[in-house]
Amino acid sequence: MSARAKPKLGRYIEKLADSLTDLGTEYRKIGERHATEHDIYHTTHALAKQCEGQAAALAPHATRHGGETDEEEGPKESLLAGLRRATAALVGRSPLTGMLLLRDLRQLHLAIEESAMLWVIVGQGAFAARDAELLALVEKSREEITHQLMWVTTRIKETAPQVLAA
Amino acid sequence: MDRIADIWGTRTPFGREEAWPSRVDTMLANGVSEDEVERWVQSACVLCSNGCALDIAVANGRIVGVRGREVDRINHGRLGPKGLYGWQANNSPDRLTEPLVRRNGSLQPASWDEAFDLLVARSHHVLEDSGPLALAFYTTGQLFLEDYYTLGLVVRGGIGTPHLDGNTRLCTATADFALKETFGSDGQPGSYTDFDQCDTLFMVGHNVAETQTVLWARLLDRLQGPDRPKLVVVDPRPTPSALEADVHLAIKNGTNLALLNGIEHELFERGWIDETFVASHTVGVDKLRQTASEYPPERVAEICDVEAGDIRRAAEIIGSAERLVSTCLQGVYQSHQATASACQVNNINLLRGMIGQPGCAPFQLNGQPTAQNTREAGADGDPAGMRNWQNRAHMEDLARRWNVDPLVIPSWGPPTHVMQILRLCEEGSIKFLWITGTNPAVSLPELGRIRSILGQERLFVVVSDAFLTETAELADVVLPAAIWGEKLGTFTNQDRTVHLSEKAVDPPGQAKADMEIFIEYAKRLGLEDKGGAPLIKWSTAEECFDAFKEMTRGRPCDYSGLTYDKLRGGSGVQWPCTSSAPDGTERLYVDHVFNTDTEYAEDWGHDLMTGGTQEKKHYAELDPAGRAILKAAHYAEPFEPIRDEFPLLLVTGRTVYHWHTRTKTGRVPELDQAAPEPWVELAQRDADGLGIDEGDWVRVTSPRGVVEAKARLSGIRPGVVFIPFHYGYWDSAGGDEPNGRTRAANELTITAWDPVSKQPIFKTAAVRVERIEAGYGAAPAPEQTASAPSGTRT
Repeated sequence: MSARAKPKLGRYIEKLADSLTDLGTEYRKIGERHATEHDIYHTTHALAKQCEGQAAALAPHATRHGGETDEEEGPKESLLAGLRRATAALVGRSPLTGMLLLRDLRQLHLAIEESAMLWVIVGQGAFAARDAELLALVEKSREEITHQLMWVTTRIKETAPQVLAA
Repeated sequence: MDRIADIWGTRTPFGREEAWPSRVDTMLANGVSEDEVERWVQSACVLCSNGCALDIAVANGRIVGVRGREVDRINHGRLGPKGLYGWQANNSPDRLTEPLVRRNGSLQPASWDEAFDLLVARSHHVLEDSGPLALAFYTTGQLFLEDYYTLGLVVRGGIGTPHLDGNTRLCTATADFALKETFGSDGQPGSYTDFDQCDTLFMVGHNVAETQTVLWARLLDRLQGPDRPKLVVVDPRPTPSALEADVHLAIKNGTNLALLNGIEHELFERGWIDETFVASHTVGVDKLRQTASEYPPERVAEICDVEAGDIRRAAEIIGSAERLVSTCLQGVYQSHQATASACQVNNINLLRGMIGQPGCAPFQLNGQPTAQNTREAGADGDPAGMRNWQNRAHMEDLARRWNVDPLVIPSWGPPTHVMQILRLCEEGSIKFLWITGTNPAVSLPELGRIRSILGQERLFVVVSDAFLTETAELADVVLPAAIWGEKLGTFTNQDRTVHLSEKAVDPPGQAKADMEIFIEYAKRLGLEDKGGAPLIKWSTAEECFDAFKEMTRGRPCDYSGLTYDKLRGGSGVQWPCTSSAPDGTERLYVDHVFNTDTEYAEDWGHDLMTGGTQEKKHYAELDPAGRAILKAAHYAEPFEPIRDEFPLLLVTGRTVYHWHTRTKTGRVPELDQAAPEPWVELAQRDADGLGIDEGDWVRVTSPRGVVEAKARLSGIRPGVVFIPFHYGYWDSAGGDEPNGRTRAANELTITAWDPVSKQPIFKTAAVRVERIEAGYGAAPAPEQTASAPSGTRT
């Protein structure tokens, strides 16, 4: 490790890790709320894992730069999750679900953007700190986040015409 | 010869560089001799994607048999069991001969006028009330090019809804997408003659001996001839091709991507890469190398549950090939990470620089006989003529040719795939659904859900079919359709060979060709072009073909040099067929320039993990400019992993004697008797643990439903359960739904699909199996194929 510890960078890494953990939670929530949209259910759960993986990969970097991330907490199947799925099945036959879906995907898009920008910031910090190892993680993760944005945009484009014009 | 018992017929071995010898197979109805045949009418078989050319025998206005066409490049005269016997379905007394409409809850005979009035009134009502996005259309891979092109124009250029798909979604959507991802457009790179000239065959999830019997006859003739090609087979079942293989990798289903990444790992590691080809003609190799580096054989062996040594041996065979043909089909397309895996099959040939030359090609094979036309003509969601829905110039060109306002043609998002169409029917925003020539009440996953969607009062369902299928039973209007042999048209097989199919006999009763039905519908609905003229400008199949071929001029599937007359008499012709290639084109990409120019490409690609759609800027940034794209992806766990409650993996599939949901083959005595009932295939070891003997009745349960059938103890890999998906309920007591024993495999399957191709997943679902009672005697499963009893074959 050639780079010296940068406590401010460390704090931003923490911030990023927290945002990724939140994003993972958001993915799961939306997946459960829209469990009758089967692709959304499966994709959000895969992407939640991806976010949690990214957060976990950041932990040693945060420590090294003088920050700290929360103890790793595996995703838990909460009572609420089951309730959300059950509600999804109940309202799954109402056209209102389209409106809700559009709203949730829009908010999800903002949440992904937030993490994406934090990755940009951490990446810039890593550059300046000449931290090659962190940079490699940034590069890989930014590509993943770009694909997440691509996915949510595609899904919004697919949903909007039906909700707004049918 | 009994071609039920002798599935592939007599061997005619041949060596590399030799022509495949011809062998003319004929079948006539009992008691009919060749002299009694009044006419032989040119056509091709519609009971698999091979598209064997044949002549239909006609006597007294009826079809009385078939004979393979010796001059044809596809089959050199041969026919398989379904082709030899299947024509009898045309003469079945069960054919629909008049329209039916639902009155007081039951389907009752009606005139065409009544049926059309109802159909058109409801269409108008829905259009006025909710707009075009409340109408949806679901077609097939069984009609002719002319039917599809007419349908596509009615739906996209006339009504203007994006909700149009074909059941090709279940069959070859992944082939279409893998070709677009790698080469920039749909279109099989290779030719059947590549099978004649290869020295190595790599077959992934492709039970060719049962699904394309005449192609397997060709391969068997190579395998038993001089210069036998080496053969590597990936399949969880001991298929006939697996038994012939040098290496058989019986991987755990759902792990194709890990295995293929592992093979690529070895190709990179051992230096079996054509570096010059890769550097000049591909993009993306660094990412692929980096991804593959994480899949050493030991890790892959663990994921796929096969021996690391076998992975190395397979890679060595592929890596030492001089002429490599790779194939894949439903074991890839209907499995987990379908498009990502199919892309790796393309990649393996590209890494070896083996494409565009004799004996060198990756094949993304098709399932149905006319699936290629569904894709080309724009009845599966892709705009007609392999145009790119995101490319404004392509869509404006389409609008100009159709003389419609570009805003009418939906191109604002990805076309709606069938699983999404069903979802929109479920939530209620689609109110009108017209299904042609397919049977989703048996063929789509999670049938309990599908039946409940199609059975909704608020959804108006129209079904055009030749028979009263399980789906037709749920319809509000049923239209009797003319089928193969009863109408004129063309269709294209899986190596781009176009065949003409002449009308041999009149359709029964009042049945009409699908194209005629769509034209009449458009007329009555008042669909017009921009100038106020009728939207559809043709009334005959040939006029439609001529319009279509103009539409394809300059596109990858260029038909501009073809005419009905050119297709009459000789062999089928491979597109592109143009003024500069008047005899068609054997291989694509012989110059190693692919269809990936940004303005020319049919698609700008996707993220393989999420299916996120790339836009023009992403493609332009990658700048493939005629180079093939090596797409990489990591293996991920299947959506429904096995667990204590459901400890076995279900795989559904085909048997050689049946087609789709048996609407035709179940009505052919020889085929029906060869496989009259479904069965459940189990490994001996799993059966022992559950106390199950051959022929016992067993119950298979998934989180979604139950199937009960007799057990066949076969050589399938332990931990995996196979059920053929052909069997529904039309010939059991329940009509459109289970009554007594539930037997449709799709009662069990999961509602999930590939993120890119949207192909539903039929090859990974978690189930448990239990014994119900003794069944007395063996299971009703064929014994010469993958379903053979364990220990009976070597």
